[in-house]
Amino acid sequence: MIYFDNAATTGHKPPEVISAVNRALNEYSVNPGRGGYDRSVECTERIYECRKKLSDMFGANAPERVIFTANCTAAINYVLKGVCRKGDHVVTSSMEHNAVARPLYKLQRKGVEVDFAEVIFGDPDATARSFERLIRPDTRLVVCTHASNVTGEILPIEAIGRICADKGVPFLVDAAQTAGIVDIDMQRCKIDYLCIAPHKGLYAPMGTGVLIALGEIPDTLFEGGTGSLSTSYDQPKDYPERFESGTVNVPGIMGISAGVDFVRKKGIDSIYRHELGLMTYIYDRLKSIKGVVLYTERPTVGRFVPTLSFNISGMDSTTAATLLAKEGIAVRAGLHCASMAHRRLGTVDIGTVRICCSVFNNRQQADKLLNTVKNIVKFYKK
Amino acid sequence: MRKVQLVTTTATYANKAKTALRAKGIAAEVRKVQGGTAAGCLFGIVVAADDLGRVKNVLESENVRIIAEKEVQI
Repeated sequence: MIYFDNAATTGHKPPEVISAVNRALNEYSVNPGRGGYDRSVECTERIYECRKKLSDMFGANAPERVIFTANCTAAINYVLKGVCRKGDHVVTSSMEHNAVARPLYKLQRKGVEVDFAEVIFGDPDATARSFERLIRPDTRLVVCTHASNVTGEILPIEAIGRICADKGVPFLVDAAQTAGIVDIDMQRCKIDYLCIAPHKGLYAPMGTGVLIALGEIPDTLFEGGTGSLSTSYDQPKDYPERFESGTVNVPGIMGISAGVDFVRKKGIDSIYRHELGLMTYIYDRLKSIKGVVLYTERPTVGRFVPTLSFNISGMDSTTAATLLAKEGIAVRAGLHCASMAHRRLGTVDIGTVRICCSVFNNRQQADKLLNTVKNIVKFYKK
Repeated sequence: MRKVQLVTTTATYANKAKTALRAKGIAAEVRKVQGGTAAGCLFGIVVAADDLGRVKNVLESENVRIIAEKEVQI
């Protein structure tokens, strides 16, 4: 199978990650932060190492603020529902994934007011101004995807972060599509909460998520055992345990740790250039096929992650994806859990075919994809 | 050599303390607190009593809160 659905999860995990997960199951099938025997204490140390690596990679300078979650969606929910209360005002973008849109919709019904900043395609300054215009004195949070999971367009988080910091409003970034793919520095970008999907750009196992919370989260989503202060029925206040009740996903965390090492060794910039180079190659050739519809300008460095949407004229996106799958090519069709973005693109009725490159994709695979698209167009035009 | 355990609020902070101390060349070991059941499960770092002054300075600069100090029996 040729896998181009890397925006959902990277389809090939590096051998180092697989070994780390195996090692975790073989050597660290213990409960960290609970037992006092060597294996449990060592396991806690390995987990701390992973927190430190993530803190360093994302410029947080606070390993104790690295919280392991079930996935990026959970990380986002922890912040939105732990921070926002009835009467609060939130600003978000018009390109959000349902991971943001649905919890915000629920909060709206509980009395939180939400405004949507328009993302102006190709004009990051105008996009940042859209956010600035909507921030009010009672704005409790600004929430923004770093890059659209539909179009790959990167939002200007550094400019938005500066605006938020100037106005004293906490800033949450959904980095599901960018962490490990483009450089993110929380301090430089003034990010208070960074939500990460390590199973994508960090090549970790599925079922892992990370929240780096430099800002406070007053309330917890759920409570339980943390391995600390057990005689108190109040949830402990110290991060990260406050948000990690129950046994953590040790194999997943060991996989994240190995994934971070893998990305660091290859170099984020080198990975990004490889992936975007391949995506540009695909974009240019798709553009030359009569009958293929593209939705963005040509992907360029710093403006796009290696994700793009297209359609075959007159064909539903799911049909196109099924035909590609019959030729052994895995892509994602439909709305990508981001109907807001599709409304913006005018594709909410047909969806789009989405492709996303990882470090493991190559030119031969791209050519096979392109030839198959050409053949589908040719066959269905007859 | 006399050893002391500095009790931290969580296992994560115990590891943060150990990492910070080792970076300064101070030996430290993460250990579950013995006889700490009154407050539930607790972790801390075990250090040489002679290093205590330096250790506390490092931990203060790293914002690691020490909630108790205990003599280590074994």
